[in-house]
Amino acid sequence: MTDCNNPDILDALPDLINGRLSPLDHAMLTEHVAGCAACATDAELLREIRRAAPLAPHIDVARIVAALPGPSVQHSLTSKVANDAAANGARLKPASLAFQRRQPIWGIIASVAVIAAAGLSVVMGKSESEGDAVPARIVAQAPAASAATGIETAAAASDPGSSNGTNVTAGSLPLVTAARSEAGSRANPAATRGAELTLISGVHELSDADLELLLGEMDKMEGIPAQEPDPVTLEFGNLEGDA
Amino acid sequence: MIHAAGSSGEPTDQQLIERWKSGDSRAATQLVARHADALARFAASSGEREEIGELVQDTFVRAFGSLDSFRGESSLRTWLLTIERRLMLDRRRAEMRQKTMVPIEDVDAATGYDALDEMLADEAETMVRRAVEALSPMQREVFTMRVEQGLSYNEIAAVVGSTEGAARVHCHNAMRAVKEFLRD
Repeated sequence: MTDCNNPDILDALPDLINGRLSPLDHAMLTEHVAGCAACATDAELLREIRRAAPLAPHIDVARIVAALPGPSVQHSLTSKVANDAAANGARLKPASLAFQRRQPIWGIIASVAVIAAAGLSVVMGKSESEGDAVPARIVAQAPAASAATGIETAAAASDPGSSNGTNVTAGSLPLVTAARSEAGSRANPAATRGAELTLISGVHELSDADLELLLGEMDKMEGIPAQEPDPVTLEFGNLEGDA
Repeated sequence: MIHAAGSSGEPTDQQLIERWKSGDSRAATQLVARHADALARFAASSGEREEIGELVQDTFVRAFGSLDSFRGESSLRTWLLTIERRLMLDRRRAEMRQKTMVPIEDVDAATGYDALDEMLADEAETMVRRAVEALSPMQREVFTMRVEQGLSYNEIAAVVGSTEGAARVHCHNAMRAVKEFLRD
């Protein structure tokens, strides 16, 4: 037996047996199938295939619903804000809703940035203590927030006349305290090479109160600051060294 | 061109999703009840034999956990089938890895479920089922979604990550292959 030469009818046969046609299309197709042996055979075969489908086990709907996660806080807040706005007749822009969802992410980004900066300062300290020649004098200013937390800020002042000519004047970042005795370095320039930046305080050394204070400060931080950041000045020291 | 009709009267999936987001847990029950059987049938037709209930549950848990990413561009049924299909693929990959450690006779042994099916089904149904099982995995998936689930080619293409035209070709080839299998 040859197939029906109407491709639209052939395509629609599965919709017919699944009851997905509009009443008009259903009537039209039923009429066609009644008069077309090929389509009638195909439709019967499709019904047979549906009947022969492997048995699916009974699904416990209640168990699945019990396992579902609840609507998130963001969902609830968003809905509440949207509902409030709708109640007040205000039009809430979708972008502002999206921003509300994204806000917690900025806190995470800020935290990661702080940790990365801390790691960077440690690496800088190490490389300098190993006598690597970094031909730059880096001056960075401490954020006021870190001072407010009570955490010592880094203050590594080195002798401009040190032998490698590399000085990190201030690498003050939260969590990392770098200290160096300026007087000592002046007294003994050779000794400065071995102790440029030293991590003398870490998170594990902070008290609970300090940690809470720090976390409070971090929560206030924004991924994209509202104000321009403080300038970072690169001061090039004596590349050849004074010694 | 003949178009499939949509159902009306009851709340749409999108309306139920919004209700669930605003804290109406009954909306979740309605959504699960509406789609669970279709997911179970699709899993069974795709060759899953064990823990279909768990598979369906995992599908819903994953879907409800990421409803934010559901933009409503496709139907919820299509989206759920897409998730379930990925879970099935993950399962099969895990089984393939396990197969290297399990003796073949244990893997290929007929399960009680298969034996019972064979006993209950009459010969014609068994032949038809074998014809469908003999299709290539892609043909079987597409054909099953079209014939047993009643999805449109567009929806099938979304689930399998293909085009509407390719889905149509797979379906027609599958129908031809089934007819040839039954004729032989």
